[in-house]
Amino acid sequence: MTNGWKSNPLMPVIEGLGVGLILVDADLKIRAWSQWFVRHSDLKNEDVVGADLLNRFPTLRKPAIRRSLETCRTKGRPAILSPLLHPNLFPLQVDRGRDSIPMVQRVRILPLEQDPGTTPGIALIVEDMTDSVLLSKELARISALLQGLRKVGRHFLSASDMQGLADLVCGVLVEEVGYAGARLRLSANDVQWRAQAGCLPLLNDDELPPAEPMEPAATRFPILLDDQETGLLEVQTATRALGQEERDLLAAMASDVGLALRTFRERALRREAEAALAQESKRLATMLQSIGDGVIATNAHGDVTLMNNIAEQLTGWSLDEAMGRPLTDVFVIRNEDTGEPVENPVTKVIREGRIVGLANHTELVKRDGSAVSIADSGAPIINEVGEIEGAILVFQNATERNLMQEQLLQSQKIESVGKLAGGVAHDFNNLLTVILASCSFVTAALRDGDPVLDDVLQIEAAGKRAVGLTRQLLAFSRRQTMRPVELNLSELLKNLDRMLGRLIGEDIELTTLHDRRVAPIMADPGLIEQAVMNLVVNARDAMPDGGKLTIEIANVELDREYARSHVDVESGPYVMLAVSDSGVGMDAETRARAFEPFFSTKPKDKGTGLGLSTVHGIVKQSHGSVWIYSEVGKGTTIKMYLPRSVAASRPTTAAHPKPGATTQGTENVLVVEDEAAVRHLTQRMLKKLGYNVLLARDGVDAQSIANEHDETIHLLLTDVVMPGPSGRITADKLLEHRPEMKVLFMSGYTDNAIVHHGVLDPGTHFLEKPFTINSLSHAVRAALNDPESNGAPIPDPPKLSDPTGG
Amino acid sequence: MIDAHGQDVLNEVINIGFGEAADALSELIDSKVLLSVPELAILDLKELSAFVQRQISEWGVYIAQDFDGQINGRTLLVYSEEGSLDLVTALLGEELRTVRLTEVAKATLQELGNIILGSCMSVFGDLLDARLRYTIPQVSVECSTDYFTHLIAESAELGRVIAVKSTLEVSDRQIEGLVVVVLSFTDFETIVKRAKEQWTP
Repeated sequence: MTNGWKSNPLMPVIEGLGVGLILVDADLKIRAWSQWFVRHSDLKNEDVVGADLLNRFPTLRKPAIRRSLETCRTKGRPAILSPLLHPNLFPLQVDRGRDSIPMVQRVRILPLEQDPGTTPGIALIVEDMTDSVLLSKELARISALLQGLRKVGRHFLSASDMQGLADLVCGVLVEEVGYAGARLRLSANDVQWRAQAGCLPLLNDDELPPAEPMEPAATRFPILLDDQETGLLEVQTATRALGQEERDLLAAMASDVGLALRTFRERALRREAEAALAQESKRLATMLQSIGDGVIATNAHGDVTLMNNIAEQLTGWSLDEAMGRPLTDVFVIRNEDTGEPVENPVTKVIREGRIVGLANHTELVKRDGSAVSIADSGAPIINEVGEIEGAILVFQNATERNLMQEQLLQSQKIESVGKLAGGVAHDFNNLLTVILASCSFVTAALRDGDPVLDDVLQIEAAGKRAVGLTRQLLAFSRRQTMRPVELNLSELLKNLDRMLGRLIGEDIELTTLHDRRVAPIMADPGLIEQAVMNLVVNARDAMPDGGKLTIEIANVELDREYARSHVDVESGPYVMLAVSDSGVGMDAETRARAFEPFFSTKPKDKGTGLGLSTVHGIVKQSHGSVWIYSEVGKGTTIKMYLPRSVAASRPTTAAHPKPGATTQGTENVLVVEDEAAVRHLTQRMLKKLGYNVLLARDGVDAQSIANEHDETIHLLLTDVVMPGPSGRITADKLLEHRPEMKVLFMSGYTDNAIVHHGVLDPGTHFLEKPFTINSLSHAVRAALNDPESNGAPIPDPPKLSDPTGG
Repeated sequence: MIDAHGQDVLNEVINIGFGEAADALSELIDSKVLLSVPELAILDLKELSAFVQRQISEWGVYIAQDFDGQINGRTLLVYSEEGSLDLVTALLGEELRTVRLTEVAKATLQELGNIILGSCMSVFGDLLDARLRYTIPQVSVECSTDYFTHLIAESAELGRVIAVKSTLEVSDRQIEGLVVVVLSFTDFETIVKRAKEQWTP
């Protein structure tokens, strides 16, 4: 203490308290002050002692302080001036490290009383609270930081994205903890990065890298993602450096951000996976519903967890009803033949853990008790650790498939028999030509009444019957020559009506359902007539005691589904011709063999076994199809489907023998025939008719004969099917040098050389074997007299094979 | 004990003290401070502990100031811990908020307590036309049942308590506090008597 207080015995005590003391009198004149002030300021005793308090320290002039001083003086009430509400009341400094900083003070104002009731003076006690304040501030910051950390920890997982996280972290650091700025920089895989801070501009992505340095300098804390530095948390303080405690806490926050990043990444991956899964599930569900097979899934206990609509249809159970039930309730199967229960494939799949196919001849018993033939297979559902989680059962209605297989077998059988028959017929026709022609020669040579004559006529009659049979065989084997025209079935039936009436007799009631709107078809009228007659005859024979016979025609459309389920059928517009009877019907076995040649249920002398085979051949050759619907005792319906005409028929030059006198001639005819008997017979016939005949045994021979022959060859009469060059090629070769030459083909059956799909090429003359002298003479004359045709103008001469391969 | 009239005038007297305190505080922080109209309760000292417990949800902080002269006694300003932290935050700002009271915060509460308690007692002094002596208020966080037990023991010669509940409103914050004046029965009677004389027309 100075100035007048030196003698005070309490002085050493006061100086030892470490606080400053100022004594003022009632007029607020400074009477004394402690040396403590001198240590913390550059004030000198003489500047202070004796001075007016408020003049010396103008900061005390604030009204609140003045009133405190006044109240203290007049009423003896003490006052306290706390450091933060009254900072730096006295110009004092404290040393902190190398720096001298303003002292933060607490000032107490106390009355000095000598006698109760009077206040001669006031004491001001000044206390250094700088450390307390700094500590409080740091404590407050750390406290805020801790709370901020907690808040970030609480909320960062709910941040929707990086921006949300950056807003949260930087917002907490700047607004709640009180840092000057904060920035979150992210790089590496997440190239997106955001900055947010109270006093910092939001930076754009393209400013990375390098980011602008923060001013004032920021402290950086690495953000780690999978041990890789993926970003930085930057914290900016206005003036001071960060304490260690703060650094640790901020590092912890950066680490939290790293965790949040990982969570975001995992969440994004999970979302992606979930989206992919949802997509896949949708795709699978669509696939499952659009698949043509029934599908049922079960869990490991064999309880139904899923089934598609086909499975619902086939089992008669809806998914809702079947869900959770044992598969054995829903999918009841038994042996088709024995009716014995069959082990459920899923039971086996779950037991053995491998794919299991169903035994043949299994049928599924639907919920309503009806049964359907099925084919199925089961496969285990195995999870990632190799456990069986359930099974998938796939099955389809096999009725159709079984039917198709039968149809195919049948069709193959008929095809092979047809080939055989066709081959036989070819040879037969050559033989029959010789036999019949020889008979006619013998007959001509014999006198009337000759005892041999009868025998020859018998031979001729038998030969003619053989010709008929051979024709039917050819029809069946689809090697008959067709002359298709645009044909209205309604018209055709009308013309046949009377003949059919005679054919069936009076016990049978014939109804013909015409449809005037029925579309034309493209077919050979003669062959279709034959087919209808064959069917009517069969129907008649199926009704020995009379009954009803119905012929019906209608336009029909065979759709893809029908085509898919029937062998050898193409979808499209057809005309159906159905012949139904109310007769005895057929059992399954008969039905299956009905189209086979020589298969007959009729007594031996009554049927040839070729009726339905012929129908089959004719329809097939006309690109149609034919089906039998029959039950024993309920009658039979046979339906022919013939394709509707798409183009007008092309006229062909018919070589039908016409009735009338033998037509003779004197032209030169080159005969090419590999069968010696037929060759010589033909020569004999032609000579008899007056023609000059050149003979060749094949195409090569014909070429050399023609080369040696200087005179005109008016007509080439050639077999079609021969060893070496075919009749067609032979004709083409000869025509090169003799364009005026006419051509007449002869054959036991048609061939691709002169026909397409059994249809004669336009302008082609054709003679069917076996022929008689009569039919030969007409055909030869017609060919010679045709001014237009010589067989040359063929659309595509070199190769006439069917481009479609049919 | 005290009639309704006595209680009314006492209430009025304390309200004047609170008004002065609010003005002083407003001037101090340069922001409006309000002290709500006091709710007065007159208690026996032995009831104080239970009363405080009912009023202040959680023991927190108290600021104590003794007075003597013509009347003797002790004044207390009691806040819950949360309330005291809110109060300091309201006065000093958010950035100094801590989870516990620091020395700086206590110094602030000391100044505040001195103003509120001093204003109250100053009105009593004026009433008695007497000059009272006051100790520097002490801020303590050791507020507990034990403290009141000790207070009762220390102040055996005293016996009457004026407990005043009031809400301090500053910067959108409302902090409930309790002003407690402990004094002798005689001093209490004197005050009530003087108050009635001065305030009754």
